[in-house]
Amino acid sequence: MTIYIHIPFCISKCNYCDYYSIIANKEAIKKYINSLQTELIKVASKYRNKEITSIFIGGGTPTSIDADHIVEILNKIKSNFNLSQNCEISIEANPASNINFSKLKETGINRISFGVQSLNDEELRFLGRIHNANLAKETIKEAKKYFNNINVDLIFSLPIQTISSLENTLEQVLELDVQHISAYSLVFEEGTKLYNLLKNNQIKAKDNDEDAFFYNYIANKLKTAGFVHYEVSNFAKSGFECKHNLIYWEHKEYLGIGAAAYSFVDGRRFHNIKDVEKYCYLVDSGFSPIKQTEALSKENIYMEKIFLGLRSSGIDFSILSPQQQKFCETIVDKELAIIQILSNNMKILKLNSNGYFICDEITLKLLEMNS
Amino acid sequence: MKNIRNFRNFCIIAHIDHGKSTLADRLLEKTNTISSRDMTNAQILDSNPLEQERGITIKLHAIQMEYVDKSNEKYTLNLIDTPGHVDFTYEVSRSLAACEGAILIVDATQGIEAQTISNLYLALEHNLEIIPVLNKIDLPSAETTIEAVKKQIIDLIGCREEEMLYISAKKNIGIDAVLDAVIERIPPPTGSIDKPLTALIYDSNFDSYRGVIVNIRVFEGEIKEGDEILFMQTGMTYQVEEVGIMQMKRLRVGKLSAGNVGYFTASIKNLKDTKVGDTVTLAKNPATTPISGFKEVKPMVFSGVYPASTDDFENLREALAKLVLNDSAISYEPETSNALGFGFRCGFLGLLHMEIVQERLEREFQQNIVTTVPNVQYKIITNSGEIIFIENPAQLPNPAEIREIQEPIIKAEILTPSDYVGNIMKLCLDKRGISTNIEYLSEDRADLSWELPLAEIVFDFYDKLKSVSRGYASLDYDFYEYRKSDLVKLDILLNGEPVDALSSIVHRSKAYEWGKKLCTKLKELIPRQMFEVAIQAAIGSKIIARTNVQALRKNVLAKCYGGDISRKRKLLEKQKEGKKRMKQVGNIEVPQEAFLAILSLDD
Ligand SMILES: Nc1nc2c(ncn2[C@@H]2O[C@H](COP(=O)(O)OP(=O)(O)OP(=O)(O)O)[C@@H](O)[C@H]2O)c(=O)[nH]1
Ligand code: SF4
Ligand SMILES: [Mg+2]
Repeated sequence: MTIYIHIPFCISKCNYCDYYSIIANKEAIKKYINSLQTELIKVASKYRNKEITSIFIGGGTPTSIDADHIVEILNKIKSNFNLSQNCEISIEANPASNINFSKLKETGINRISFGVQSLNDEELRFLGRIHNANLAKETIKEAKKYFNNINVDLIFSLPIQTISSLENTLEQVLELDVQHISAYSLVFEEGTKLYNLLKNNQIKAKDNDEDAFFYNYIANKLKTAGFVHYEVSNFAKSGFECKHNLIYWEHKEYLGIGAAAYSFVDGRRFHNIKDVEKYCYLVDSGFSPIKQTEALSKENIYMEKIFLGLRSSGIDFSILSPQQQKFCETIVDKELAIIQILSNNMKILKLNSNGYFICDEITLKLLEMNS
Repeated sequence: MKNIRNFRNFCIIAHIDHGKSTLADRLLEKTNTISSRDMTNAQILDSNPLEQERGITIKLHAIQMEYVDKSNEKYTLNLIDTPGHVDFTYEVSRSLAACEGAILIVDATQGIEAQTISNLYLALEHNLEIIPVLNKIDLPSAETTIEAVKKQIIDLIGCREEEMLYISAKKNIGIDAVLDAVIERIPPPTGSIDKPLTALIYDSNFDSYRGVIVNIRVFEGEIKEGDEILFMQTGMTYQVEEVGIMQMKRLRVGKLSAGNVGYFTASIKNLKDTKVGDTVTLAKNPATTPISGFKEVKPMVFSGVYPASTDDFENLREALAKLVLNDSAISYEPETSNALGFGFRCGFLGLLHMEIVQERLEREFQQNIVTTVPNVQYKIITNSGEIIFIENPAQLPNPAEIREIQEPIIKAEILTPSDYVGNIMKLCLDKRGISTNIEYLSEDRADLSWELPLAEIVFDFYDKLKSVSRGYASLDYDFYEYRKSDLVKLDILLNGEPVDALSSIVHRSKAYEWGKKLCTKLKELIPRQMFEVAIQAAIGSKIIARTNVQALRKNVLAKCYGGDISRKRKLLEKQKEGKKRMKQVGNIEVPQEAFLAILSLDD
């Protein structure tokens, strides 16, 4: 099992962001951290026998709060759960000059993931980011002194992006020599500033073909630079695949702690209430902060295994019907996927970059044949 | 016992929308057949939800009313409300056969239109007394048009001005005069209860408990519950179970005698035994000659009707069988298509009829169906002199075996204000028509007679006619003859494979243009998919147009972490549902609308 900790605080709201994160004062943050530890201790008893293989502290911006809070939380986890030997402990960060890397490292964090998004100042302004390209680069250079497992998040297909600005960003990122890169195509989520601009025709989204072109460009460029395209949006130097994220795609269990955190344990998906104040109130008064639980049916599980597998490490051939297997062969013929034989003789269908691009289409085709 | 002299049997006829059903509402109220309070919606006789929604009548509706006139004399009035749309002319002619008189309504703001004339002629063929009624006089624009419309009617019917009634069915003006005219002018039925029974079947429908409900007009004699009756045409005998009249609901009365209109049941499970137009008589004391019936209606347009999911074939068969029990004008035959699997080739009276049948299948019978482009019936003469009729373009024999292809030609009457004559001539010429006559009914109104290939009318002729005449022209048509024509089969190939359900038969002079437009339309309709899809139009082995749908480049959500998984699964589930509206043709997904692409080529 893995643990996810949600720190829903940011310095300001980005134009594309629809995560649950708020801008809060020190008092509120402190109160939240206390409640979060209460929840941790409360649920820990249930999972004492499960080995924790990774911990992910996400947000929001976990590095925007006092590093001592992170230390407190991790100490609570260590003393209440059974951590595996080489447990991966990640934290999300945004470029800033005041991050206490040494303290984070000291408390056991061994992977850091930066929201960089772009290294073009105009694009960063468009996205409503509060840092510029230079600060992003400086922060990462500083982090490298402490960490050898660093991720950079990028967003592409911005309305104002050109292929040369993208190339420029990628080159600078490669120069920083990080181990992991995530590249997401911009999504206009309802309720965000960019969504409203789009709705009012003040900006124009890139069309499907342009988007595909950018994506393709990134995939090729990173492959040439020695990265493995191991999930739709994720690239890593060999051995640096994010363990925590793989858990999601391999349909394994995760426990989410904190407001708006999601869990998948014992065949159930559930999530906590998306409101810091209410979360604190519930936890502090001894109630469960769980907002909604969903028990998965056999069909749900089958479907999840297919679509999660397709978008990452592949799917086990043996769960497919003869008709589906035949379909897999055509997509291999069309160079959208490969068939891997694992050491234990397991046969796996794994998409390549071209396949990842149309992963949903392939998923639907496979599912259709099942029903 | 009611006196036959106090019966009046009449129907209301008119061009579409001139206000027949609205007048029927008022008559039902005036005769207290229904109280104003129970008049829950306008056009109450349009009882089918589809009739209500579309605001048109699609089936005849008979109803009996009791009326006491000024001199306190009691009358029984049998009213039949009829549809105005050309597709349902058959319903009108059946209604007329049960009556002695007809109220001919003309919308005072529109004047005489095509079905005013065609329905009037039908009524005259049946020797009915005509009561001309100008409706909608409440509309302000009627003031300017009414004089001209009066003149049109006088010219058409040859009646005197005093014979015309002026009413507003909607505003309840002049309705008493209509009832008085019905009593005074329409002759009572003749006939004697002492003669052997003759009753004409003018309609029938199906009730799952009682079997076929046979709607009859009794001309001679009497029919009672328990009687052994004989259908003169089919030769079948049955024992009558229930006899009644139609009010807002069926009302059992035990017997019906000469001059009356009503229904009977006899546990008839097979609709074929009760042919509309047949004569009912008594088995023991049969009449010698049947009443002359009507010619059988023949479907004019055909289309493939397939279950969206191949598993539902049997369900569709059942649904069609049930639907036909209440709408005998539909024909259906099983057929197979390489693209769509097992389905039926159905025949309809016209495009509106087709639309309504498809909608009823979906709504009343919960069938999810795919339909193909409608086409007409072609007559093929082979080299060996054999004659075959085909209702599906895919059945066309190899061109080398064909001596000649003939297509159905209709005679069309188009009534229009003179201003639009030019536009309409141009439209008809473009539709391969031949003008046979132009008659000016008045200075500013013309009646154009054309011979046109039915296939050209089936598509968008009616809409075009309306648009080139700003809505003023109206059309009536009837089958005329089969005529030799230079027709070719236009095939559509997807990735090299012909898709039979997309084939059509077109005139050679239009094939090239059609092929091109069809390819373009299909390109719009067929979504991008994993692999490129080549679309080609071909005549025989010759490709005349081509285009392609590029492969899908990207279709994936960028992010899928812990919190996104449920959401994403639900999204995929929804998309999966959406894909169900696609037909798999080989490994290509074709949306259902694509099979109707030809219908919207000009949009
Ligand atoms: N202003 C006005 N509108 C009327 C009058 N009579 C009918 N209408 C309207 O005309 C429209 C058509 O009326 P219907 O009674 O459905 O016409 P119909 O002749 O039965 O039509 P079909 O059965 O489809 O041929 C409706 O919107 C009526 O409300 C009238 O006297 N005055
Ligand atoms: S920093 Fe991240 S979580 Fe915070 S507002 Fe920006 S995108 Fe959202
Ligand atoms: Mg009507």
